[in-house]
Amino acid sequence: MHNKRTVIEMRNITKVFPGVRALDNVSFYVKEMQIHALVGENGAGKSTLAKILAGIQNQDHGDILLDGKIIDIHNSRSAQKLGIGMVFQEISLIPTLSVAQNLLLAHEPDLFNIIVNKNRLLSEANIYLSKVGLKIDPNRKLQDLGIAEQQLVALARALSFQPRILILDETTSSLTSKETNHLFSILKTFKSNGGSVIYISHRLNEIFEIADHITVLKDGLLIDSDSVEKFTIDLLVQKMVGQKIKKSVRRNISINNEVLRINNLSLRGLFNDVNMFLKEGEIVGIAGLVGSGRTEIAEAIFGIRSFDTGNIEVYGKSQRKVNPILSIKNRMGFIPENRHLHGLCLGLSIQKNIIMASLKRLFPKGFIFPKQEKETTQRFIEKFSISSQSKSRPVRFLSGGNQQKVVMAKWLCSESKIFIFDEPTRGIDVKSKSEIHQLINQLTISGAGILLISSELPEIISLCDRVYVMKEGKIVAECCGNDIQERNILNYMLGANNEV
Amino acid sequence: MRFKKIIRTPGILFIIILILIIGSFISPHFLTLSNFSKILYQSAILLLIASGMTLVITLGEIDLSPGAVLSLSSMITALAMEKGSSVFLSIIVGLATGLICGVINALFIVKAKVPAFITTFGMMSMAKGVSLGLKDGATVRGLNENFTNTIGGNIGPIPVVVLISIFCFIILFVLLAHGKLGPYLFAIGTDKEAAEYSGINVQLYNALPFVITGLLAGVAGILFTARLNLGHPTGGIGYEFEAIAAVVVGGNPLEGGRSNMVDTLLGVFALSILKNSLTMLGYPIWWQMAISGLVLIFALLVPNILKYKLIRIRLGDKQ
Amino acid sequence: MVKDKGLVHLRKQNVKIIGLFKAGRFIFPLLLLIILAILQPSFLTMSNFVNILRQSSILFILAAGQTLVILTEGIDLSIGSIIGFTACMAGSLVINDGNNVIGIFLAIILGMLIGLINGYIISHIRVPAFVTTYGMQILIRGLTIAFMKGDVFWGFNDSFRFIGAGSIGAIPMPIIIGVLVLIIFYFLLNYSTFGQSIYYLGNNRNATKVSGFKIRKIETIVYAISGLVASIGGLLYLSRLNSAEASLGTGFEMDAIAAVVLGGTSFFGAEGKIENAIIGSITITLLKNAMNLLGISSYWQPFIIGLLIVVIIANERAFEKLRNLILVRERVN
Repeated sequence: MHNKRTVIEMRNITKVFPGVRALDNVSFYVKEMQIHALVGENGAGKSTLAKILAGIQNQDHGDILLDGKIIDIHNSRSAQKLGIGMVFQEISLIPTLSVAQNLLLAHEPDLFNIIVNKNRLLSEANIYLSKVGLKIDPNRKLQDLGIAEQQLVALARALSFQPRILILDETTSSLTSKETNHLFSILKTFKSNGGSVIYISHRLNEIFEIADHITVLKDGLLIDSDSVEKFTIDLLVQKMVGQKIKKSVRRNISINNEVLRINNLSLRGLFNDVNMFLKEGEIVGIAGLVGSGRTEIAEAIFGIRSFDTGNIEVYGKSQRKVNPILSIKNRMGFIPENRHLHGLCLGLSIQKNIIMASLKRLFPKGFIFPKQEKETTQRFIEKFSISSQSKSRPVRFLSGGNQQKVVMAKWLCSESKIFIFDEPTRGIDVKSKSEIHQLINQLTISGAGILLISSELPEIISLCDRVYVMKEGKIVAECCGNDIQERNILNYMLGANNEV
Repeated sequence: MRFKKIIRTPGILFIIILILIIGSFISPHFLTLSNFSKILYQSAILLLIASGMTLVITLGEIDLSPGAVLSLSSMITALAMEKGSSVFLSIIVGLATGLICGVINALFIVKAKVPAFITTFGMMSMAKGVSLGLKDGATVRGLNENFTNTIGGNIGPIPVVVLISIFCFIILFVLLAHGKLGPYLFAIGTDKEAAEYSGINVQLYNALPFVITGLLAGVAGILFTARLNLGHPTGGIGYEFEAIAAVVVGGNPLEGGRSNMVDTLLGVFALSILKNSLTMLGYPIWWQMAISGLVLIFALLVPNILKYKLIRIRLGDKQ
Repeated sequence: MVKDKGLVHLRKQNVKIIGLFKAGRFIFPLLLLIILAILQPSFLTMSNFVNILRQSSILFILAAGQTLVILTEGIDLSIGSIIGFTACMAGSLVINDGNNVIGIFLAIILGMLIGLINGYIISHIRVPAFVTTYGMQILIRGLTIAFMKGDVFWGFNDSFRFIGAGSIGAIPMPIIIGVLVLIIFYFLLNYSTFGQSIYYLGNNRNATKVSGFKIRKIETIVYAISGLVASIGGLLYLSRLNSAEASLGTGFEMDAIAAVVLGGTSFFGAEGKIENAIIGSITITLLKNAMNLLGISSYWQPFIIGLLIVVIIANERAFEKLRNLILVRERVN
C-alpha cells in the first residue's frame, strides 16, 4: 500500500466566495490505483475542491501538482488534456443533443477540424457505452433517456478522455442499489487498470464498500484524511458534524391551535398526495434528499408554484388556490433556499429589503412616509443585530449570515405567524448558523409555527419537534420525540434498500 | 420519414401553400416561372442575412446590425470603385467592412459582456451614421461595368446573386448540420455552463455567429450594390428585421438551443412570396414593412402562448 | 499561482475609482461646455443657455419614461416610432379640424395604448422586451408612413404652437412641462409604493413576486407610462418644429437611452434616479450642439450616439467586475 505513487496533490488550496470561505488552506493527495472518498456535510467544500480539479473554478491560493510537477488547470479543456475526467452532481449534458454527440462533445472525431466524422463518432461512442455496460442507440436524444442512463452517459463521457483521475460528485444519488453496484464494478475495473478515483457521496455505507481512503471536510477545513480501516461510521459522522448533536429544549406546543394543514396536495411529477399539519409554537421539519419534492412542496404552500389537486388550510380557512399576495395576507413568510434568487434585492439597502413585504400593509394609500419606514425597519435591524457600517449600503455587501437575517426580518416586519424555512443556513458560517438557529427558536416562543426544510440532518434533529420524511415526492414517514434520530431519518430518506 | 426529419415544422409548409393559393387567385401572373425567378432574385439577399441570423438565434442571442452593415458595405464598395479601385479590391474592401463590423460586435459581446441586443443596436446606429456621413446621405453611382455585369448578371438562366447566396447558404447548412459548429451552438444555446464544463471554447463559439453574420452582411452589401448598380446608404434598413422574422417564422425558437437551416430557407421563401403577393395586390412598400412586423410578432406570440400554457400544466406555474 | 496580485493596491484605489466613475458624468458635459465656449464665445449667453435647456427638456421627458423602463431591466426601442405616429395623428387633427384639445388628447391616449400593448406582450406573453419594442418600432413606423402617404402637415395654429414654442414669462413651455414631469417622476420613484416596486422588480423579479407584488401589472404600467410620456415629448417637438412628416422622431430612442445611461443609471436595472436623466439629457444636447458647431454633419450623429451607448455599457460592465472583486475580499476579510 505504501509504495504507490502519488498521482495528484493539492497544496494549501484556498477558495473564497462572497460571504464564505469555501476552502481554507486544504492540502490533499490521491495515489494511483486508489479510490479516495471525499465526505462532509453540505457546504463543507467537497464540490468546490472537485470543481477546482476539473478546471471549472480557479483556486485563489495554492498549487496543484500532477506527478510532482506544478500544473495550471485554468479551464475544463486543460483538465481533460491532463487526464482528469469528472461526472458532475447535476447532469451537465445537453438534453437536445444525441447520446453520441454528448459523449464526445468538444472532442469528436473530425475532418479538417470542422466537419464531424459521423461514422467514427458512432463507433467511438459505442466503445465507451459498452465500457459502462449501456446498450442503447447512440443516435437517441439524451432527453429520451432515464436519469440513471444519463448518469452512465456522463460517466462514459468522462472515460472517453482516457483519464488517469476520475472524479464522481454524488453520482449515485439518483441510482438504485442495482445500478450503484454496476457503477462500482466499473470503478473497480478502472482502478485495477491503474486509475485513481475521487469519490464524493453522502451515502456513508457506500463509502465503506468502495473507498480505500477517506478525507473529511467541514466548513472548508480539512478535518481528517486516513485509510478506510481507521474509520467507523459513527466516527465518520462525528467528524463530519463536529460536536455531538444536542437536542434543544422542548417547547410547550399548544395542542389545539393548528395554524396550517395541507390536504392531499399533488403536483404531477413533483409531489404526490402530501398531507401535513403545523401547530402554533411548533417546529416541523421536512427531511429528504435533493429532488424528493421538499422544496416544491414549500413553494406550493406559499403559492409560488401551483398544484393540481388538494387544498391548503390556513387558520382553518380552506384554499384551493394560493398566491404570494394571499399568503402574505394570511401572515405567512417564506425564507427561500436561494436567498439571492428569491429572497433579497441585492442592490437595495437593508431598509428597503426589510420593508419589502410590508409596503402595502404599511402604506395602503400608495404614498411612502420615509420616517415611518425608517422607524419600522430600525426596530428589526436592532432586534436581529444586523451589523453593517451603513444602513443605506446595498445588502450585497453583507455577509451570508447577515443577509439571511435580513430575509427573516422582512417576514417578521410583515407580521408573519407561519414561517417556511428552506435551507436556512446554507452557505453560512458556523457562528451565524447558531445565531440563526436561536432566532428560529425564539420565533416559536411568540407563537409562530415553523416549517423547516433542511438537508443537514443535525439541524433538523436539534430544532424540530416533529419531522416529515419525504422520498420521491411522497411523505414516507413522520417522526416524533425520540424517533427523531439521524439513523432513523436517513433510513426513511434513502428507502429500505439502502440501509445505513 | 426522411422528409419529415428535414422539415420539422409542417406549419410553415401550410402557410406557404396558403399564400400560393391566395396569390394565384389574386393575379394570373403569380404562378408563373418569370414571377418565381423574380421571387428567387428578391429573396437572395434576405437568405444571406437570415442564414447568419439563424446561427445567432441558435445561441439565444440576436443581431440587429446586419441591415445597417449591408448599407455600409454597399457604400464602401461603391466608393472604392468610384475612387478607381479594381473590382477585386473593391469587393475585398466590402467584405472586410462586414467582417470588421462583425468582429467589433463579437468583441463587445464576448469580451466586454455588453448584451448582444444593445451592442448590435449600437452597431446599427454606428454603421448607419458612417454610411450616411460618407457622402452626406447621397448614393454612389457610376460603378465599374465589369462589376455590375458579372455579379449583377446571369450564369445561364440563373442570376449570379442567387448562386452566391445559395452557395453561402449551403456552406452554413453543412456547418450546422454536419460540422462541429452545430452541436457546439446547440450546447451553448441550451446551457452555457454545461457547454463550458464540456470543454467547448464558449467565447470563440459565442463570437463566431456574430462574425459570420457581419461577413455575410458584407457579402449581401456587395450583391445589393451590383443589383442596383449603386451604393445606397440606407438600402439595407429593415433586412435585419425581416431576417429575424424569417428565422422565427420558419420554426426556429427565438430562445435558441436548436435550429435548422432548412427551416430558415422556408421562412425566407414564405416571407418573400408574401411580399411578392402584396406587391401584386398593389400595396406599397410601407405596408409590407408593417405587415412583416405583424408576421414576426404573431410568429413569436403563438409559440410563446402555447409554451407557457404547457409549462403551467406540467410543472406548476413558477414564474 | 497567486491570482489576486495587486488586489491590496486595488482596495486602496477602491474609493478613488468609484468616485472617478461617478464624477465622469459631470466632467463630460463640463468638458463639452468648455469646448463649445472656445469654439464660439457667443455660446456663453443667457439666451443660448435657455435654448439648450429647452432642447434638453424634450429629450428629458423621453428619457424619464425610458428611465422607468430601464430600471425594470427592460428597454423600449419603440418610442421614436410612437412619437412619429402620435404626432402625425395629432398634427392631422389639428390641421384638418383645428381641434387642438382632441388632437392632443388622442395623441396621448394612443401613446399610452401602444405602450400598454408593448407591456402586455412583454410581461404576460414574455417575448423579450427588445424584440417586442423593436417589432413595434417597425410596425408603428410602417403604419405612420401608410397614414401620411408622403404628406407633410405644417403651419399649425398659434395656440398649438404655444405648447412647444411659447413661454410663460421668460420660461419656455417645454422647460415648464419638463420640470412638471421631473416633479411627478421624482415623487413617483421616491415616495410611492409603485415607484419602490419598480426598483424591487428591476433588482430581483423573483423576490419581488415572492414578496407579494403583481409584477406583471407593474411591468405593463411602466411601458404604458413610457409610451405616454413619449407622446407628450412628441407633441412638444411637433409644436416647436411646426411640421409633421412620417419620419418624425426616427432615432429618438437612441438619444433617450444614451441620456439615461450617460446620466449614470445602470443598464442592468434598479440602480439610478430620475435626476440622472437631467444631466444625461443636457450632455446629449450639448454634444449635438458641439457637433453642429464643429461642422460634423448630422448624418454622423447616430454613429457618435451609438458608440457612446455601447462604450458606456461596456464601461459599466468593467466597473461591475471590479466591484465584485473588491466585494469578495471585503466580505471575507
